[in-house]
Amino acid sequence: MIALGTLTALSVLLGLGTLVVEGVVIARCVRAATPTGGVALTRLGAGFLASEVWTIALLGTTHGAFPGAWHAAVPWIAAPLTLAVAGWMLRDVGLWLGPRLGAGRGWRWIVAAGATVQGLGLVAALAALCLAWITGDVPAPGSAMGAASETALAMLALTLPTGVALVVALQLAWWRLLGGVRVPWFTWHASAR
Amino acid sequence: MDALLAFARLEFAVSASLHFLFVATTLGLVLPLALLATMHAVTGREHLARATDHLGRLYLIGYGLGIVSGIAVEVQLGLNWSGGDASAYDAFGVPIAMETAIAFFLESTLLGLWITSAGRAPHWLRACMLWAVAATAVASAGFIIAANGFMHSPVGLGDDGALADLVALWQNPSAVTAFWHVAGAASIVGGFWVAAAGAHLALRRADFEVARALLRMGIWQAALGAPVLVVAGFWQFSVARPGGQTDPDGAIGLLLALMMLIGVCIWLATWIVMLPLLIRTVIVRARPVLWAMVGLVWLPLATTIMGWVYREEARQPWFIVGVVRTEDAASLASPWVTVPIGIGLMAISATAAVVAWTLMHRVMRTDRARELSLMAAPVPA
Repeated sequence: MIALGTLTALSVLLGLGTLVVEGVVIARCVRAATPTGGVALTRLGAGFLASEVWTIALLGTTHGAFPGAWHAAVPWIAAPLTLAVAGWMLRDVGLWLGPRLGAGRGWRWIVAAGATVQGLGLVAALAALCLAWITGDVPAPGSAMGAASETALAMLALTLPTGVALVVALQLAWWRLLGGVRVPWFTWHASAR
Repeated sequence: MDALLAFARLEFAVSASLHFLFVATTLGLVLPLALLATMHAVTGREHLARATDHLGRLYLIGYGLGIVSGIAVEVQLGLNWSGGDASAYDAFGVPIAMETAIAFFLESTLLGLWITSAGRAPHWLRACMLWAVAATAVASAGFIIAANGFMHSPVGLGDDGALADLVALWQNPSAVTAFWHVAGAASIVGGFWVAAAGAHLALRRADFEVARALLRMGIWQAALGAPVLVVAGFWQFSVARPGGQTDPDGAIGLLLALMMLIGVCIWLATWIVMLPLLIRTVIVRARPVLWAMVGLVWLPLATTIMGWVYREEARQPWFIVGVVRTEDAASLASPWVTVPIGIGLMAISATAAVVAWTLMHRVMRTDRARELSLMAAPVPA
């Protein structure tokens, strides 16, 4: 029960992290095509590398700890999640390649379009998941139904919080010490290489 | 076989194989990158900063587009392969969860910190960050191969079919041997990239010191990886799939034979031809050899795909050998949904691979940037 509670709490933390950390990045990317978008993306720098891993950690943790619930949720969230991921890929292509291949407005449009689709897809996936919980098709968060075996839960509860704590510490240090600095590799201006 | 199931398998093969090209490339580039950064931090020699910056550009292109192709793999896995009894996925889900919430979570954060701290943190600290990136990348590969090894040889299950023995999961011979085989393969792939970057510079007679450093490092890396690759490859035969398929024939058998031939040839070529050419840096003047290094980057990459196609084909008709059949693991929607999404994901994976290949070659072909973007000197306080 302790392991189940730990992993439920960790999943909630990762979900909140996705909403807040990745949410801020998505919001900034949505405005990439505005006149100040280039400056905002330069201030973001490599920040999206730190934010998108929250989503990946959330998906991996919930799949590992609650495989039954995950499998039951797939039919509900498949379409919106695919949409979100397609937008995410488009956004990332823009963020990585824009500063290398010209950094003009075209690339910023790609970032904005991708982030918009990603944001809408994530909201729709969350709504679909809530609906699935309400209808009872997917076990509620934290329920032992749909959870992994006790051995698997124990292993995950012992290891994952350490990794997440390390990442939180590193990201806080990054934010406090280097937040908003200009990074040559991710500088959005016409002569950027 | 059901046509839709065959399509889903093709989709997995294409997206996973293309993603593995990025995995082998970045895994093979991160160690020489960390080593170069450390040598620069220790000796302070300027050409090592230029070499690190040059290699860092190649690495970041591979890393960024590798994430894009990795997301494509995750999506098709979630959509197409979530069928059957969920309890069978326990041992598969544990290492995947540890990869995402520990290894990749840390790796991406540390890499972002390394990029952002250029010119703002001391070189020794940034070299430590790269070693941490390398360690998490290796851990990441270990977790994924533990999951894959379980699919080939499901160990550690209790009588009720649930995961019961964690030690067995981590010591699974099917995973351990595959890990060393992949480590050898990534070392060769990375070595070929590093040597090709040096060869491009040497052929243009640009930055002799960087060219020499990269050629030495790349050739040593490929030469050291080759025996690991070959020995672990043969070691796999006895333990990869106890009770499973052992005698491949037809096209798959041919693929296996070709892969083994290329692996042994790379071992011989690196030890008999390339290493002796490093004496007194003869290699910098051996232009035909330099052209060969520039032109053969694709060879170990193509060979890794042969290896994966063989390994995964040999697992059939099982998803998890002896536990879940491939057809039962499939969770396919209607063809009108599965096929367009599948084609889209395969197109994205292929585009990411082509763009990465083009950009990495552009970096290697053009003169280095006028200013260092990844290895700027720290600004004094």
